[in-house]
Amino acid sequence: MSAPEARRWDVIVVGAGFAGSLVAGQLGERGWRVLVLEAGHGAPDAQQGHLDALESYRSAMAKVPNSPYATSGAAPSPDVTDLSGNTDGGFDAGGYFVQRGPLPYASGYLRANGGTGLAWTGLAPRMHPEDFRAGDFGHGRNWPIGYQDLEPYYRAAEREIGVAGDVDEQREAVGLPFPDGYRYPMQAIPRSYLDRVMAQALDGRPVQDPATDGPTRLRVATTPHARNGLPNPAPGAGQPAGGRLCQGHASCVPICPSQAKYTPLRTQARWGPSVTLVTRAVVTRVRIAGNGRAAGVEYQTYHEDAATPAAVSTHSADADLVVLATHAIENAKLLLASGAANSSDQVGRNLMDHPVLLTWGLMPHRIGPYRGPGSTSGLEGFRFGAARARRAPFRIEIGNWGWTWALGPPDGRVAELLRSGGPDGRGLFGAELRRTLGDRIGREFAFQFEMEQDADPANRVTIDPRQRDALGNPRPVLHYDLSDHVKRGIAAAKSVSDQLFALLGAEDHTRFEPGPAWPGYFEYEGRPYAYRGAGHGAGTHVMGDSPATSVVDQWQRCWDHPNLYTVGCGSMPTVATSNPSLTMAALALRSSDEIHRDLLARRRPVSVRGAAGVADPALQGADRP
Amino acid sequence: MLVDHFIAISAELTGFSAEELRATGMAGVYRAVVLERAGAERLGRLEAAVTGAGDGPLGLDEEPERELARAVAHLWYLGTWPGLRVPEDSKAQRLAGEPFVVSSRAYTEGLAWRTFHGNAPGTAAQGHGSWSTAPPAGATRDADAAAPAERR
Ligand SMILES: Cc1cc2nc3c(=O)[nH]c(=O)nc-3n(C[C@H](O)[C@H](O)[C@H](O)COP(=O)(O)OP(=O)(O)OC[C@H]3O[C@@H](n4cnc5c(N)ncnc54)[C@H](O)[C@@H]3O)c2cc1C
Ligand code: SF4
Repeated sequence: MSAPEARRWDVIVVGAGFAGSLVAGQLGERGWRVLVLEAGHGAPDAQQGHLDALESYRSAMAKVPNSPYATSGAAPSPDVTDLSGNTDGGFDAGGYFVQRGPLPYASGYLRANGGTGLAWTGLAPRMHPEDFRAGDFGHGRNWPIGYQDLEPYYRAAEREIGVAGDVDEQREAVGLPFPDGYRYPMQAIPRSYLDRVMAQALDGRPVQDPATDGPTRLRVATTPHARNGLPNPAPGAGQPAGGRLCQGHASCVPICPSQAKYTPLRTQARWGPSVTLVTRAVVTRVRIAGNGRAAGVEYQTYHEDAATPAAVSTHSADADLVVLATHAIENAKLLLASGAANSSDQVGRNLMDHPVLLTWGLMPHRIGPYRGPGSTSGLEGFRFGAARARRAPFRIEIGNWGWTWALGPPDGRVAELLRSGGPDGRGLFGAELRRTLGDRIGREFAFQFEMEQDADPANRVTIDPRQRDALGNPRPVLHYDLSDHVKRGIAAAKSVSDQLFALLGAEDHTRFEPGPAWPGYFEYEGRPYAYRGAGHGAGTHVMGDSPATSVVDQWQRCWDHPNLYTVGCGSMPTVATSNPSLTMAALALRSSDEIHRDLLARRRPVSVRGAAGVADPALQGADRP
Repeated sequence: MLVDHFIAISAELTGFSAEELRATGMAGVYRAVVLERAGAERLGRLEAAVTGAGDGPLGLDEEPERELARAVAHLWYLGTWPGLRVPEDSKAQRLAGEPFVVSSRAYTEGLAWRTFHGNAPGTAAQGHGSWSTAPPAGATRDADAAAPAERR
């Protein structure tokens, strides 16, 4: 391989995470010469890297999402441990982000080869057709495309990342349209025992959401997963996309020992020879030429962990087309640092996440938590419909890993019993300790309410020349808050939770109080609440149908620069209530087709271009299922 | 043997039998951690207090012994040394406070998971769909074993 600078590339992809790995793979498959610049470390040998990460995870004190992976001060990652609440309310933020809003942006991401797609949970539901029209309900924005535009790409993404699910159940319980005869590549991941107990107690029962007139009927429905289930024998289904069958290690976040969960490294393993990856390459700027086109990028390389200026060198690479795929917040930061794509003044604005309300308690009997994936089913009835105009909609995940997300792993409960358990409050030991822990941890469960956050231009990423990281690059400066619409949704979710606990006969241990554990503490209408961040950052280079009000067009192409694409959840006008990465992947595959058309048009201007909106026969790869 | 003595008091503190503790393969390592972090003298006092208690309640009236007892149980339950607040032995003083995971193996062998017949996350393949079945009934049985069997 010649040095990246020494040649001209067809495409430079910035970021070898979830979206970037997909785009690079699609373009490489069609023979384009692609340079992928990745800020983080990459393991020279993927299998050894996996084993090292597993060892790091098992011996880490705090088993947080980034704990297995080697990160570097040269390309810092925000971590959930950077935040801490104050006992009188409010919060402190250390680490990489500069937080200036009234409430914290509470999610992290990972800068390492593979990106946050290494640590993600792997839940892969589609958005609902209504989610593309959230603006019609008076909150947030509408998409420039609809469900039907994306549907073939949903299928392509489900095949590419390998999704296990039950089409009929998604059709009935969520109301998703699928083409006749479509099957997910793999059969649904079996529901947990907890799900089964819940279904028995909840299915068909009504609960009253304060925002709706009539009751909502409950139904426990399995969730589509990007982890390996049994192959689907039905016609039209694909084969498992690599890795082994999911065998219930219960550590999907942050690392799946059996590699049953999809990670971008799986896509990278399939990259063709025309794709070149350079790790430890931090892109600092997109170079925009006088004609408004992107000419290439500037980047810094660094040696190992020594983030000292001496170990850093700067480079430049040229290409016909540039794709930014560095995650919502980093994409906005890079555009701002490049003075690019911002004629609408929307770059960095509309920062969204899924604020998550957690409620937790003890089931009446042991349900065997901490087995299998973190959540295998949900309650989908609060995601859609007219109530959306009155409060943020939400999706309910049934949490199968006990109180881990709410209060941390069982370590805390063990320490507490040792410290203050027993009749004299001086600690419990021996058989009584063993019995009490077994009884309590064995009954732990949680609900995770993922709220749709409406796009608010005031929630934003900016840069500040005084706030820089070790290599002198800007740190993201964040202003984040929850709207009353979201807070109303959280209050409604809490009321639904109370009714669920009553139906289950479960002991509710939910308690929110200001303090270190709850940086997202707030009060609303006199009641205490707190949220956590789902890691679903979105909206920062919002997609729309007008250059005046949006950053990218429906293809994730910057309105201001015809050969600069910015891909990822940052393009999403609504974050909806579904976990966003499947939709992001579908968008990335759709953009890859358009990028391919752009590149062809530049080489052979008229002859190859298909009619608008019609799949070009030359575009192998699109619409594959 | 010295390890046997350590296992004997650990059984008292954790509620797991000496055989169960021995089977984890961690006893020697944990004893070494305790010696390094708390010192031989303090471990000796704990052993004396626990052994001397016979069948009655654990002889853990003094706070330094109680604190170390908690730390030993914590070690077995989680594979993590929790740190000590009141180190006495001067050599151990520097080290005593720092909490740490003993090793990935220790994490894997944590007894907390075994109290409900589970496994530490990320350590055990359990078969596709195993999470759909009711948790092992034995979990309830042996936990309640102390009393109800005779009463029936
Ligand atoms: C704990 C957790 C659980 C999650 N679970 C789910 C889930 O169940 N379902 C779901 O749909 N979503 C989930 N997500 C969200 C999901 O991980 C993200 O949506 C997804 O990874 C975003 O993809 P991306 O390609 O935009 O970013 P990433 O995957 O983060 O990739 C970005 C890449 O760009 C690189 N990069 C950054 N800056 C630069 C630079 N300046 N130069 C060069 N390279 C750079 C990074 O190192 C990284 O490799 C979860 C997130 C977290 C944190
Ligand atoms: S449950 Fe276990 S095997 Fe399945 S995806 Fe999660 S970590 Fe991997």
